[in-house]
Amino acid sequence: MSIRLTAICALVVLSFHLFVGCTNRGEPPDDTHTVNVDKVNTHTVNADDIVDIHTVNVHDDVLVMAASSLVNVLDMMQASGNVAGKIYARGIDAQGKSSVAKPLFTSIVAGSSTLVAQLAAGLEADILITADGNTMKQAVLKGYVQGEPMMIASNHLVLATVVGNPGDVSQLTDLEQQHLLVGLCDSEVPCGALAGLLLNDANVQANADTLERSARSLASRLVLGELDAGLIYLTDALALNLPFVCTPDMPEHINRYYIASVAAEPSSSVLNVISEFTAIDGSGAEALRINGFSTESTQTDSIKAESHYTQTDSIKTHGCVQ
Amino acid sequence: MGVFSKPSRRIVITPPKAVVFIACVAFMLMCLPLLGLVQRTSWSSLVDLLREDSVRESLRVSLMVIVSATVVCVVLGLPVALVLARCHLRFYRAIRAMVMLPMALPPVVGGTALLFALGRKGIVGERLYQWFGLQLPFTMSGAVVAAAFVSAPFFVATVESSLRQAGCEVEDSAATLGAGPWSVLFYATIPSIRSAIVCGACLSWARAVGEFGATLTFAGNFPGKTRTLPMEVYISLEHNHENAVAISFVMMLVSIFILAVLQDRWMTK
Repeated sequence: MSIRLTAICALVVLSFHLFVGCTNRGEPPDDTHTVNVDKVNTHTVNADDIVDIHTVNVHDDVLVMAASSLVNVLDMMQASGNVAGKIYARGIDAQGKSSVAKPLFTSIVAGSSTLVAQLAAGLEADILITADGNTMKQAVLKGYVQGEPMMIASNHLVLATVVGNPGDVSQLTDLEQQHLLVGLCDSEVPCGALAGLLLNDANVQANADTLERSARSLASRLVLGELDAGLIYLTDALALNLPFVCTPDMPEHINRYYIASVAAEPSSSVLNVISEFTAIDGSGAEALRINGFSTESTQTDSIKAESHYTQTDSIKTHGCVQ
Repeated sequence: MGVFSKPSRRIVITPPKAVVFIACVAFMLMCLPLLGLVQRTSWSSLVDLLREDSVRESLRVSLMVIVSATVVCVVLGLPVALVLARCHLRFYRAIRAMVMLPMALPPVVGGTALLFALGRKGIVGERLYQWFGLQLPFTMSGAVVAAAFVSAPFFVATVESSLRQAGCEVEDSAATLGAGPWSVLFYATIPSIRSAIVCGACLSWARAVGEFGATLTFAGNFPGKTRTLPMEVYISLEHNHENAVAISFVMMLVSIFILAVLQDRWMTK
């Protein structure tokens, strides 16, 4: 009887390990090293692909959680990395040519609020990049993020429409029309919070038909032509070639992207990735600029006081490019 | 008491001990999530939480969507089941596979497929929009379509298998006695599979309650219009754990209740 009991206990413990082990990083990796949450940019590292084993360490792979509007930036940083046996992503220099090999990272892309919730649920990431100060503040206050947040870029909303603009949307007040299909981000997601402020200041009662959970999923609804108009980030409108309108109000309402390491004392590879974003000539900063983000005067702008988290400073960062 | 009577005591061969053991462990693993949920439920505030506007709103949406979807499943599923079971279809296997597909399809894929078929730019949806100004995504009708799409196979499968089991004797006799096709349908066929219809409706109801992926993909997410209970759970989990736990707990109770009712049906069949 006691043998049977021990066996039951052993099996239960074993099966727990089976489930828990899946999220344990630092354990020997399987053949493929992928993360699969929501919309994920996975970079698969195959053991076979490692050409120069002594120079690289697969365990050092840095996991970056980033706001969905940064998907193109991360793609660009990770693009076509075939240097040194697919272990290093290629950096981008001013001429668009490949330059020095940059450390690779794996990324999870979702709405900032979803990212914070995933951190709260115990996802072991190395770096968090949120699309506004508020979500970063939540992560810091609750202790999910221990490194000091640094601001890396800013962005603002535009009124984007479907290609061809069949709804004839030209100003913010058009969002009040009943017959138009209007999409906004949910108010917990940075782009939704910003849209709320913008609409409030413009005294517009938008008649939304859907509240999306990430900036990018709202933008893709417009790309698919299912919505007539929506308030999306300038960078997303540019990246997806959506026609957009920009009122003078819009560049005055900016959201700021913050980066922070999850651990209080991050490893050197984590610091390397962060510096790609914070250094002026880093591949991250470069990719941000190429994608239309404003990175001016952000390099040394780390936040200490709480007031820095507010997102509606009346700073003209970038005018509307049309 | 002859050789034809049933033996009074059947010999039941129990499975090997190892199998019983694995079953025990599996059962424990299955119960674990329920335990987690019950342990996190704060009983005192449960009622207050359920009285909250957002929860009531999504409860209303969920109920309307579920009831309509179940009705759609029955109205459209019954003819399909009848044709599958009674007509000698040439490509029976292929047709049945198509009907059952949403059961195996990941709901998000189903939602995407619906979007490209019935969305405003979809092959059918574009015409619907141009000719009738009818648009399904981001409306409650869209949520109903999504829920009906994923839950219809459960109804069809249940009713079809019951039709096959019931055989054609009753219908044949009714027809021989001079009943027309409609009379046979209403007075012979449907009464003979009444319990299967109820059972199938319950199954598709249960599936529609939990529908999330296809709805989110196809119908979007707006409180009071398309935000159903599972969606409310998903969203509350990010900023309001207690709410998520409370709704999950209630949904769990409802599911257990439905299962209990269904089990009764199956046992008495």
